[in-house]
Amino acid sequence: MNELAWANSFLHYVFDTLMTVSPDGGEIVPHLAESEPTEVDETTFDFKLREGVMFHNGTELTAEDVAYSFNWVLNPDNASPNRAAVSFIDSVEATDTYTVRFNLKYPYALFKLTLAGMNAAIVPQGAAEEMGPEEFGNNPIGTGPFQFAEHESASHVLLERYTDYFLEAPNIEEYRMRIVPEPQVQFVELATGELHEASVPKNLIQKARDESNITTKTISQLDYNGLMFNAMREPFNNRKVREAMQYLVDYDDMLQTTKGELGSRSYGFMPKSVNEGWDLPWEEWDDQYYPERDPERAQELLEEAGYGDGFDKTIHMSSLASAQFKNMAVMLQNELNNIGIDSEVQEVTIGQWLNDLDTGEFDVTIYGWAGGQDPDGFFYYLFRDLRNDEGGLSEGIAGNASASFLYQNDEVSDSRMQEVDEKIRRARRIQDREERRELYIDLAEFWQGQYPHIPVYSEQSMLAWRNSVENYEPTAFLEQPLINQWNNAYLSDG
Amino acid sequence: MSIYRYSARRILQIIPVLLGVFSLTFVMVHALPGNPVRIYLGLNPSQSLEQELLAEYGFNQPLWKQYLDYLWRLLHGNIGESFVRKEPVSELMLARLGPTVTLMGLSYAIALPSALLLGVYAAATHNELGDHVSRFFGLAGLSTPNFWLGLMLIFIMAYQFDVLPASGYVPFTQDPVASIKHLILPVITLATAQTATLMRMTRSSMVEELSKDYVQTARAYGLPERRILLKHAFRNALLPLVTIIGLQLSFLLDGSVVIEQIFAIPGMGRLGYNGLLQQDYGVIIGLNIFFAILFLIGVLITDLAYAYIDPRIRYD
Repeated sequence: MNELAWANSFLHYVFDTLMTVSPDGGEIVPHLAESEPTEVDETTFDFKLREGVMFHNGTELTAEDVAYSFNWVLNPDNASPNRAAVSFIDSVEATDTYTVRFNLKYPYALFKLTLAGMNAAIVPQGAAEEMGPEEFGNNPIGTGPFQFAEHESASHVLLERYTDYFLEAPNIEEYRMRIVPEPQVQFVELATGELHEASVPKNLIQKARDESNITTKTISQLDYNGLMFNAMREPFNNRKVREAMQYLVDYDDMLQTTKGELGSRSYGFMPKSVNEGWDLPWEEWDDQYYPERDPERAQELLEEAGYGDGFDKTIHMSSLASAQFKNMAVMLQNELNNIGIDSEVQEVTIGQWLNDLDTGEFDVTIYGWAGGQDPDGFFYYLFRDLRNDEGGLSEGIAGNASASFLYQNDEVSDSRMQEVDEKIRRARRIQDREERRELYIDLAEFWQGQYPHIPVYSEQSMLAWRNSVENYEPTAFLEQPLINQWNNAYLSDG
Repeated sequence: MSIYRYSARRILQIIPVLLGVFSLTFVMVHALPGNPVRIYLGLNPSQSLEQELLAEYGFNQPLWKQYLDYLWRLLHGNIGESFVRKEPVSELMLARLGPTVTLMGLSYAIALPSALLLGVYAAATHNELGDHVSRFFGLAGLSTPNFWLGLMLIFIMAYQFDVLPASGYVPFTQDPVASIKHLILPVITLATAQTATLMRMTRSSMVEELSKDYVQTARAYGLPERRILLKHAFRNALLPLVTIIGLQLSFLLDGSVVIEQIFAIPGMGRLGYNGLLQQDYGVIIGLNIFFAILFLIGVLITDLAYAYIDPRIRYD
C-alpha cells in the first residue's frame, strides 16, 4: 500500500462521523448522531446530535461544526479530493445547537453509508478556521477515541488516549503506528513482540499460524481484480474474442497461483461478500458466465469472430510492476501462446499504466478496484458512461481508467448502452433496497454477458496480532476496531 | 596558481554542472508518462478535480514556462515543493537528513579504516593464507546484495536470537542506547560492501607499490618491514585510493535507499524512492540537486587531498 495513504489511516481514530458501520457491515448505526435521522422529505434529513461530546481541544461539538465540516468540503474553492463523494449534498445547516439539517440534491441510496466514512469526518469549526487547512492537517483535532500526538514522516504516528471520549475512555493508552515497508520485517517485529499487530504476506501465512502467541484473521479487502480488455480496438472490440478468453484460462488456477488462500473468486465484478450481503445470484452467474477452461471452445469462438488464424498483431498486455499482476498476465500469455497467438507482457509504472488506461493504449491489462460494500461502488465507478458526466470527458481521454470503453464501441446499440448508463445512475438514487438489488442483478447480467473484464479474485489480507491484545475483533467494516460501540480492546500481561 | 584560486575556480565550475543536472532531471521527470496529479488521484478520479489541481499547481502550463519558473525559484534558493506532501522539499530533506547522514557516516567510519587495515594486511601477506582469507571475504562481501544481507541479518539477529531490533530508527539525542542498537544491523549491511570494495583496491594498490624498486632498496637497507609498509609504500599507494574513496561516497547514497527501505529508516533514500513512485517532481528534482552538490563537494575534496598526499601535484 502507498506509504502516505497508510499513514493517513490513523485519522479514523482521531475523527468521528455521524453514523458508523456495524462490525458485520450489515447495519449503519448512529455514532455522533444521537439517533437515526428524521426524514423531513426525501431530500431533507434532520440529525439530532449527542450532547456533551467534546473535541480534543475542549470545545463542545455543535451542529455548527457538522455544517462547517461538510460545507468546507463542498466548497469548490477548497479543491477537496473528498468533494465528489459528498457531491449529492446541496447544503448542510444548523437549525439549533444540536440539530443539523442535510439538504440533498436528490435522494441518494448511499447517504448514510457516506456519513459513516472518512469523507464525512467532523472537525471543530473554530480550530479549523483559526489554524487553516495546512496547519490543521498537521495537527488534526477531532472527537475520536485517540488524539494526535506526533507524526514523524516515514517513521511513525503517535496517538494518545482521549480520556473524555464520548463512548468511554479507551483502555489502550497509546497507539503507535509504525511504517515498516518490508512485510517480512514487519513479521519479525510482530513475532519478537516489538509490534502488537501487523499484516502477514502470503509466503508467511503458515509461519504466522505456527506462532503460538499470535492470533490471525483474514479480512476481505472489498475489491475485485481481474483482466480488462480494451473494447475500443481490435481484436477485443469483438465480444466473442473476449468471451473466448474466459474459456482459454483456468482462472481458479490463476487465483491460486497469485493469491493462494488470500483470495476468493469474485462474481459480477464484486467481491463475494458483497454478493452475499446483497443476496445476489452469484452461483447462477458462476455457471453461466464463468465456465471451466475449454481451449477448444475458445478456438471455436475465435473462429466465429473471424480470427480462426489468429490475430495479425501482437497482443499488448500491460501490468503494474507487481509480481502478482505480472503472473496473471503471463498465465494468459502462455495460454494465448498455446493456441498460436503472439502477445507481449510489459510491466509499467503507475504513471504509465494510468496514462495507458486514460488514452486506451493497451489490449489487455490487469485491473483492480476497491469499491466497498455497496454494488454502486463498483458499477458507478467502473461502468457508467463518463461522457454523460457533468463536463464530460476531457479531450484525448478515452476511459479515464474506468472500464466504460464499451460505450465507445459499436457492438451494442447506442440506445441499449444509454439505458444501461441510465440504470447505473438511477440505482444510486433509489432508497428501496429490493428495487436496487433488482437493478444491480440486471446490470451485472448485462455486463457479464459482454465480458469487458474477467473478474478473477477478491483479495483478503491477513491480519495478525499478539494474543496480549484482548477483546479485539477487527473486521472489514469497522473504522475504529480498537474501540467502538461493541468493543474496547485492552492489553493483558501475556 | 594558489590552492585558494584553484578552489574558487572549481566552486564556480559547480554552477554550470548543477544547471545541467537540473535541466536533465527536469526533462527526464517530465518525459515520464503521467503526472503527479494523476497518480495522486488514482483510478477513476473526478475529471474536474484533476483539471483544477493541474491548474492550481501550474502543471498545465507549457513545459518551457514550467522550466523557467522552476529555474527562477531555484535562483531564489527554493529547490522545489512537494506536490504530494504539500511542503517545501528543503524542509522534507532537512527532516530526513539526520538518519541518512548518521547511517552513511557510521558506515564509512567503519568501512574506511577496516578496509585500509585489511588491504594492507592482505598485501603484506601476499599469496599467503591471510591474503587468501581476506580476499575470499572481500569477494563475498562485494558480491552479496545488500538487501539479502540485510534480511539475513534481521532473520538471524532479530528473529532467531532476538538480540537486536529488526527495524526502525531512534535519534541518538533521544535515547543513545536504543539508537545504537537500531543502527548496528543497517550499518553492518551498508559497510560490508564498502569495506570489500575499498579493501580490494587497497590490496592491489599496495601489492603494486610493494613490488617497486624503492621498496627493495629500503629492505636492502634493513628498514623494518612495518616502517616500509606504513610509512613508504602505503603513502604512495594512497593516491589512487583517494579517488575511489571520494567516488564511493556516491555509492553510499544509493545503498542507503535499499537499506532505509529494509530497516524502515526514515531517511532521504526513502523520500526519494517514494517521490519517484509518486512522480513528485519537486522531490525528485530537489533531491537530485542536493545529491549532485554532495557529490561535487566530494570530488573537490578528493582533488584537494591529492596535493596534501603528493606535494609534487600543483594546481595549474
